[in-house]
Amino acid sequence: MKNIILYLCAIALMSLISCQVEREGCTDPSAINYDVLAELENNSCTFPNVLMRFVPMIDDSTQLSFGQDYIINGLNVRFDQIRFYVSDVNLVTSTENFASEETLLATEVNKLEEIGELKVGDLQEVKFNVGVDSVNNHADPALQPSDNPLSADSPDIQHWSWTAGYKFFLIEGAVDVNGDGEYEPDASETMSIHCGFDSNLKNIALAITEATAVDRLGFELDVSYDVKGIFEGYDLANQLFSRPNSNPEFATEIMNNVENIFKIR
Amino acid sequence: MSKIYSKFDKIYSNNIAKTVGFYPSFLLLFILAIAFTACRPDEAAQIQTPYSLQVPDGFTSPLIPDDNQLTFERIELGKKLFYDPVLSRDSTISCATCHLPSKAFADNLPISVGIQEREGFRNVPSLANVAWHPYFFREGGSPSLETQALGPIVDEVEMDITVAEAAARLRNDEDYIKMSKIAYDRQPNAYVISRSLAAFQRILVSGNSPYDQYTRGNQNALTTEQIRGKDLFFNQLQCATCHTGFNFTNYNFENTGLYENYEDEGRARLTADPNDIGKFKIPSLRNVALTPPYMHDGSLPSLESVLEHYNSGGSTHANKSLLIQALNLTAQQQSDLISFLESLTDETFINNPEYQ
Ligand code: HEC
Ligand code: HEC
Repeated sequence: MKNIILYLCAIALMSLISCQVEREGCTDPSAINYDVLAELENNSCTFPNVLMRFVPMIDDSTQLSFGQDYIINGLNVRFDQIRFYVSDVNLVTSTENFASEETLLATEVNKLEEIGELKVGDLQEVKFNVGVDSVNNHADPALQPSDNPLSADSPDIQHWSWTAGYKFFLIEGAVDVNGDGEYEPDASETMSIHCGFDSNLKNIALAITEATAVDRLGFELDVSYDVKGIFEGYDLANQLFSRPNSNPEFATEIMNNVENIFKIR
Repeated sequence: MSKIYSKFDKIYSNNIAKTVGFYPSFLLLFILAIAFTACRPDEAAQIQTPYSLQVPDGFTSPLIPDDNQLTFERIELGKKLFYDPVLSRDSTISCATCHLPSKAFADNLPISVGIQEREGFRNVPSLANVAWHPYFFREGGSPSLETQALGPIVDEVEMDITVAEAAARLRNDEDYIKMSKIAYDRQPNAYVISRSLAAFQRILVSGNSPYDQYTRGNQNALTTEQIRGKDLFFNQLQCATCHTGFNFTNYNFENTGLYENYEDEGRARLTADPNDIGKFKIPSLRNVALTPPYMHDGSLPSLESVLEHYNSGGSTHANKSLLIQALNLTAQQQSDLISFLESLTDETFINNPEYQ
């Protein structure tokens, strides 16, 4: 009996020692904490965090300031808000095809939003949707997690009632239609364009022109959008207001332009 | 309120008394059971008083979602919210501003008027028997009462407030906090607001009109005009092909030839299908005499004008239902039909103290 106990103790000791010999760590070379010496994967790998930001530009080099005057299509224009949902972010790199579950709401604050963890590699293509896919667009917003901008509990949610779903793209501001140098506070010069509807969901695909690496330090993806481009060929003087039951065709025009305004900075 | 708590206390303490008094060893089991069920979403329902919906003869049982089974506590909370203007930005408008109990939970305006006198864009429908509707709004864009409830709250021309802000207001109110906790085991939020409003609306059942009493055997419940009108409605005309079943609708979407050009495209707003232009959900006709004006835009001021519309066969429209044809009804037949529609008014429903 004693012998058996001794024998068991010996085995236990041996296995303990052997564990210490084999080095544990993260064995994935595309992780931040990749340990070249590690032989045993211990699931400790962490990957570079990808952050994304949408920046409004008034021309190639100037960022738009909300509350200021700009000339667009020959008219003085002031923007108070430009907000839109970005969903289904897909990043193709040399090491993976990454699909984010997060939906983000781009606002005038230009906040960096976390979209997930990517493996180290070279960025090749950026894809995303402006708007919300038809399933989410008609799902119950009270069942979305409360920290999601699609949640009815989020102060930022942009949602109509059920028929139209989410407001994909929203523009608020003023246009000096009569050219008297002032913005009339009434409907004649108030701009309020709310765009939605499944048919207006836009798939954006941006090719990478300059070599861009997702490295161990993480990764910030700055996407700029051209505010003047939103109104390309658009009759701003006469198309200030759009809702699903009031001039929805203006929203369609805007969304068709939105398809072409994004660029990687 | 106090009624709810005493019910709650009674059930709860009864349980404990039993377990402690008679089966001491089960106390542990009881505590464990609570601990386990605590993470189930509908656990709150177990310490509430179930409400069993009185379904009138001839009605089917409505489908009620698993996570929102009816309880007195949920209904009570939904009722309080339904009548509370706290759900509008300037605290002036409640659901009941547009859905008046005395008007079968509709109103008498052509187009609804919401916050700061802002004009909406459609006529308010009655909420009688909404528990049986398979979808909501006149184009059917909302699949459940739960999802529908948030619509008017955020609508700019109705209550115009974010749900987050409305919920924050409720979280400053002791009563709402307590009631939400009991009903849904959480603080007031979008889930609580949408679920409780749905629960309250599900109990709005109308099935005791003179017509119902007649079909249940009371020969005196209808007048001879009404009986003649009933025969026209069900047997001689096509009315009951569309306005069929115990709720007087098959819930299909139809174009009745109201216009050649529809400003409100109806179902096509949702589907973007040109074949759906001018199609609207067939409305229930229960309590219809209480809810003039009629049609999706309130454009027909009276039942007389609705019958004139059907009698003429309506305007020409590519999507108009083939069932809508000129009828050549006599004045007597038209007034018989109107008398019949008046027999669908349910006094028990509009005076039900449980709803107010
Ligand atoms: C400003 C007036 C107004 C207010 C306030 C209002 N409603 Fe309505 N309601 C309407 C109108 C108008 C419709 C029809 C809309 C449509 O079909 O597009 C409607 C439709 C509905 C329907 C769908 C009925 C059906 O047959 O499809 C329900 C359910 C409903 N409302 C519940 C509510 C609840 C609950 C509230 C409070 C949170 C509320 N309403 C507040 C005007 C109002
Ligand atoms: C093809 C299907 C169809 C037939 C047949 C039909 N209806 Fe309708 N009815 C509808 C639809 C759809 C509406 C709503 C139209 C709208 O909102 O524009 C309606 C509306 C009504 C309304 C107004 C209800 C309200 O609350 O606004 C009344 C009353 C009515 N019908 C009575 C009748 C009578 C009586 C007949 C027979 C003479 C008849 N209907 C035949 C589909 C039909």
